[in-house]
Amino acid sequence: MYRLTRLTASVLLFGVAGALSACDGSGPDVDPQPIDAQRVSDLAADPIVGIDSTTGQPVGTGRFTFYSLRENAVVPSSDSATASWDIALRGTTILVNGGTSGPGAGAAQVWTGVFDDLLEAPADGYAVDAAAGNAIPIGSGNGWYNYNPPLNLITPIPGRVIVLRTADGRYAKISVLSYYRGAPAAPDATTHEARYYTFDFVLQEDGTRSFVD
Amino acid sequence: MRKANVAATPSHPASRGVWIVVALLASSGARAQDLPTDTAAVRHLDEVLVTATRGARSLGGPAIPADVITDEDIEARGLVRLGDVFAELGGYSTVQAFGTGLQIQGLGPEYTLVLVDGEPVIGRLNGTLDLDRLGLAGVERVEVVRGPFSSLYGSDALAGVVNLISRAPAEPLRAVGAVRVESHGTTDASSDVTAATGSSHVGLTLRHYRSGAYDLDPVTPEPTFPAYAGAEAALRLEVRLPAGVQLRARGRAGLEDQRDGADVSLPLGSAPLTGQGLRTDASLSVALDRAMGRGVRVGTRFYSSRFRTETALSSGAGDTLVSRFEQWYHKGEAQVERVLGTAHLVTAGAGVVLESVAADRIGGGGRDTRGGFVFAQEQWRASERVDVTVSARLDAPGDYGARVSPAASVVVRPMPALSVRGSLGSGFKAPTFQQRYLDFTNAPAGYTVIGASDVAEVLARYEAEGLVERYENTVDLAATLRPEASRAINVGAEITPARELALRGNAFHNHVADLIDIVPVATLTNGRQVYTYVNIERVRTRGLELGADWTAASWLGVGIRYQYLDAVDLGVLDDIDAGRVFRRVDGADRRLRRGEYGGLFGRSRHSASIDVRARLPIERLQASLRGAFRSRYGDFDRNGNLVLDEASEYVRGYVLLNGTLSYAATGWLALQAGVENVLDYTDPQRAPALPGRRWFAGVRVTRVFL
Repeated sequence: MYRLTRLTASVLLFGVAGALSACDGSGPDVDPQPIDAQRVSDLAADPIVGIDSTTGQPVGTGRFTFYSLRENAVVPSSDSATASWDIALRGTTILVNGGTSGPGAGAAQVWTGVFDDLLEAPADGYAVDAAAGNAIPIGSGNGWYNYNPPLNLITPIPGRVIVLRTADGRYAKISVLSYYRGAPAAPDATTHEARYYTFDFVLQEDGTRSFVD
Repeated sequence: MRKANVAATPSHPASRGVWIVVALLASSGARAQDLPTDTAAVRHLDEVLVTATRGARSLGGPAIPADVITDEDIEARGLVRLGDVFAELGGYSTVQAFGTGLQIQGLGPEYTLVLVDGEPVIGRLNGTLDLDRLGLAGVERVEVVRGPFSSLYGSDALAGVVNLISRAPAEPLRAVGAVRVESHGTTDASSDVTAATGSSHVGLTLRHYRSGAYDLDPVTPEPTFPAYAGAEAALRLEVRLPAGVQLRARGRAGLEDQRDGADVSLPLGSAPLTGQGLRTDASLSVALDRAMGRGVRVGTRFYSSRFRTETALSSGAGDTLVSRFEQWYHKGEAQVERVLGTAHLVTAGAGVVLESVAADRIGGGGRDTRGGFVFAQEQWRASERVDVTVSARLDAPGDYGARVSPAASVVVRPMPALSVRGSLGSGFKAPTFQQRYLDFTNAPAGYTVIGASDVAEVLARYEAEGLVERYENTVDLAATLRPEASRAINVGAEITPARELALRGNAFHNHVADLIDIVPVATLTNGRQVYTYVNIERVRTRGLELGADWTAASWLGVGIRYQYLDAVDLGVLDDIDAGRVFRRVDGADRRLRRGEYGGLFGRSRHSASIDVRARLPIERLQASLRGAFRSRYGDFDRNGNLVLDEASEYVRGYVLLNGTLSYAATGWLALQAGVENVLDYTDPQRAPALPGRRWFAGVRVTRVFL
């Protein structure tokens, strides 16, 4: 009885100590985990509403969709002149809240590499939207997408990551997954509706450049 | 009905009917079938090939990989157009893009030179020379040599040279008439009349053809194949003049009219556009040759050719958009051949070329260029078993860099039944008029394309007007656009273990550099991007070509061909190795591995063909059956990384089967019927230019007067 009690006690003691040390969370055997990305699906970015009768080109309403990464929600366009949105999307153009686009501290750059492997945002190299060009360049191959003329298809370039500073100076990274509604695995410009973004993003709320917990 | 074993075509079939000279994009390829055999005996190439040595007499067998398709082969298979020949020949591919183009050793149609009786055929649309323009009536044989031949022929002879050789009549009078009907309202009628006396002869070939429209995909407003009609006429004359001078003259004219619906996005409710395209071409060549004695021959040649297309797009409301393109080519050259001793045959020549183009989208409305060339060739019979050929050519064109193209080849015959050959060659392709002088703006889409010769001046003008926002990357605007250039090595052997069996093999490696592509060079203040052409790409194609011709019995001949092809963009390989290319798998990006890169679009790694020719037990009846296989090939990038890597980017491989039955009813009347694509294989989504099963029937009358 005495031995059992001591054994039980030492097991309990070790168990509690072990549990306590595990609860601490800073033991040497715990790896830093990248922050899980959040996915935004089918965000409408000025979808086509008709055909321009003079040029024959499909047109939308011409309005940007404003989005806040912190709130993970659409910001009404009445707030376009404020710092409450981080990115604005219209067709293939993505603006950040800074420079000529808005009053915030937003800036962005396009980084080449694997999204999950980017554990820390670069210290410099960010551009703000300006008359000379957007922070996220427009044009096929220049920014986040490629345009395929024979198929009339917009595809995000694998390995391109948008790294940005939000309107309030926090760091985030975005990987655009699809430009078509429903994010089909095999998009077809003739059957799928364009200008609906599906993207993954990671936002570091604590203000550092790290994308790791 | 156009015959096509085809591959990656633009998914707007209407582009065939609208011959507007617009930039962009390389061609893509398709596959072909096998070379048939004479059922009597295996054919040897030695005695008939002239293209490899530029018409000079040949001392020995060919030291380069070559094919010869005779008129007997053509008749047995029931072929009417040059495109049909290559749609059925192993190791070659036909490509449907602005007409039927030819792909050799994995290199696109813009890298193959097509000759008729040694003179170049002009009129390429976006690089493709439409082989269907050339009918086979009056053709004695088609010679194809593979590998670069710019050392003899200059520009465009990078992948190979095709030469259609007209029949030199032997009978005093011979007349042939043929009429043929095919499915989808296609008809073809041709006649060839020749007369010969002594050493002079004259021949006239006429051909008329038409086809109704054919639709594989009823959803789209325009038909998959538009309706077209055309005609061709060729006159050839050879006269022995006094003082031992031989005069050879040839005139050709052709025209084709195509009617098409156009695939253009329009406001809802408006009437569809209709398009019409008219193509005309004409050429004249005059050659004078004289044997000067002591083994010397001297010749001069003059050649003029004109090619013109006119396309009109009309809406129902009376608006018409007309686009014209016209090209002229004039060449004068002189050539000397001299036999030295018993073992040397030296050929040398020089010439002047004048070219001009007039087109809506060429800066200034039109351009002229002039240039010259000098070439020399030495054929040396080093010994009874060894032949060596060395050649080189200097091209000095007016407005792009001069070029020297050397070549050398050796053929060794250690035994009568075995010949081993190797050749090193260089080829080049001059920048096209479009690449040098284009001036085209697409305002709604926001881009302008300026040819390389004009871009520096145009941008200086924009800058003076304050229109330039910024310059892109590191394009050297002052640099002259260089020709695309290749170096190649071909090593092969031919074994004839028995009289009835010939085996051939050829390994090839082509390295093409300075390929011209479009890059952005500046952005204007109104957001419009300016593009120009630069030498930027490098491509490598290599592979193995195997063939066997077997006369299985006196009545049965079989031919088999196989090609293994590895065609890659070397710039892409460098990017992959540097970790700059990615792919997305289940939403997660990772770097692309070399093994996942599928190579150039439009090329099949494996292709094979088999051809069987039989004289059936029923008398005077002959059957020909051809089967061709091509493995899968890529058509477009679909996952955003601009390279061929994903399964969805490939078009399924397929097998095509064609059969022809010929019946010699009497000595002068022959009947023929056949089916193309017996298996009715189609792939309307991914290979829209592949027609389904088609049949044909024809009658041929031959009258010979001795």
